[in-house]
Amino acid sequence: MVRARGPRGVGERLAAGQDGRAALGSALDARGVIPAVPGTAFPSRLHDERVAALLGLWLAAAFLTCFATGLYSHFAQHPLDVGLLSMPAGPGWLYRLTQGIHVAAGIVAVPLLLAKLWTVYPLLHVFPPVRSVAHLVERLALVPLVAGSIFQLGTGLANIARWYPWEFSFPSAHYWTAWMVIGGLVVHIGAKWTTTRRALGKDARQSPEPSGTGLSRRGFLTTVGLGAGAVTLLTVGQTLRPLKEIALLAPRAPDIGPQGLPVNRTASGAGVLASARDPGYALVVEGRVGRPLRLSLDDLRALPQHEAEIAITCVEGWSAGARWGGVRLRDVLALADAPQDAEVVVRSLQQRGSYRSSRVNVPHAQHPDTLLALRVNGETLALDHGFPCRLISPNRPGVQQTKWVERLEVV
Amino acid sequence: MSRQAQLGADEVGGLRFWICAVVGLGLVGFGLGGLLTADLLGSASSWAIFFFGGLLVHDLVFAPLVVGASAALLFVTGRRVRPVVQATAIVVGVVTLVSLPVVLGEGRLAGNPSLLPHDYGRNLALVVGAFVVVGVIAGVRAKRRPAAPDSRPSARNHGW
Repeated sequence: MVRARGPRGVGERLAAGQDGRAALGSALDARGVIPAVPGTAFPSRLHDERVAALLGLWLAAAFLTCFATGLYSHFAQHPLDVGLLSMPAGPGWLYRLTQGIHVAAGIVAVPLLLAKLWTVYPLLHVFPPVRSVAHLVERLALVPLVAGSIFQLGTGLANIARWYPWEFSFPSAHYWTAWMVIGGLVVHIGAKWTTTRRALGKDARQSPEPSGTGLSRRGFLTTVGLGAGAVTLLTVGQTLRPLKEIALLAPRAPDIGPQGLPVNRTASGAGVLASARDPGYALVVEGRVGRPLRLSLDDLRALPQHEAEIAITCVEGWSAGARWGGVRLRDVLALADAPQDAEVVVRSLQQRGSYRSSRVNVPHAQHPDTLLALRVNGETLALDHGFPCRLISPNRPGVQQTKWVERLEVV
Repeated sequence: MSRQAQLGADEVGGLRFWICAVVGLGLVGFGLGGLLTADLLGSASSWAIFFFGGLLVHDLVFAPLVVGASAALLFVTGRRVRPVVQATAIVVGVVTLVSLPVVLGEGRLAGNPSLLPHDYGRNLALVVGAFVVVGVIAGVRAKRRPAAPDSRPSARNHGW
């Protein structure tokens, strides 16, 4: 873009060495309005392609991290059961790590996205708005990219704070919108490849700091990094226990809740206050079994007991480890004479809600740490943790650790 | 050509761009198709309100406010403290924005004290206060420093 005229806008006046105040004032005087042309209306030297390229690179890394960990979580809950895409029962820390990273990367992406959008904001007002068919395609693809990014981060932040001011299903919208964002990102990478390579190259790195006042380019990026670091340190303690004391803005504390463990769905919220305390409670085992069972709480307590260290790991990014005690699921399946390749649908006393049942695949069903837990940290389960009996299994999203288990359907 | 004229000045096109465009728009279509056929339970309109609403609020309200605030900053800050004021404003703004959902506390539920267990308004005030204190100290130090060399190319030519 060639502009063969004197320094008329704020940016050019600043570049020509004027003080910011004078530059803005005289630009307004000269033209009456702030002109909507890059480099003139936006006085800051930070509207710079190297700043944009570096922020873009970091943001792409954060988004691709969110996408990969998000897909993992999605397929953990909606298994395809194809080779590697089946959820393994170990290592036990895997989902805790991927989902903690998912939420932390999303939070880090907030300052990166805002800084990136601010840096390139002058381009929203570029004139002419469309220069070619390719330019039109590039700009149209910014709609899913930018709107989708704002949507994913905004609704994601609200979701981890359990705030739902909308009517759509969050998991479904978050999953499908992610594909739109990644699609928009692919187009954007194609459009900005050349520019980004130049901006990250040696010449650009060695080019002098443009004149002007206020934050330098390096100072701006450092500040954005500080902001990203601050929001991470203030929240990540909800899953990284050593940092829990400084997690002042985290939606959860890993040790606050009944029996020192957080709860998503309470017994009262699930409507099981009466049924869970019913003295006639019995666990039913049925389906593809040689011997259907009906086990009272005393029957369950009389079976061999085992203990396992397993972290409750929520899709919302918090996790909390505990020592669970109870009966191995595979022992109950053996007692019922279920085949070795049996999967199990675990049903709750809960009558309504998307998470009132879950499916346990073969690796999880046969894992020695997969328990029908009756105790946590040596105490009888609290009602809110699933009394009388809950499923607990390594490397599974928390919503699948079904509470108030009433029925095992072997399939 | 000035540096700022470069921002977005490259022509778009070429084989690489068109391959990316076809693949990327395919993925966008896959996502949109999934949304329209998924179990959104008749709430596609609610999705659209938040999807386009977020974009419009950013581009038409949030971004102009930030641009205006940055311009206003030019009038109220001296040259030497300006970077410190900008950095403090950015960090405080980011922390405030990210903590908005927990500070508003709309997700609180009676009977579940493990949800949003902290006093987030107080915590945010503490964090913001700490950053402001650091900013003020840095600002005072910047002001006392002898006049900073002008950051024009001739004076600072060591690049990034």
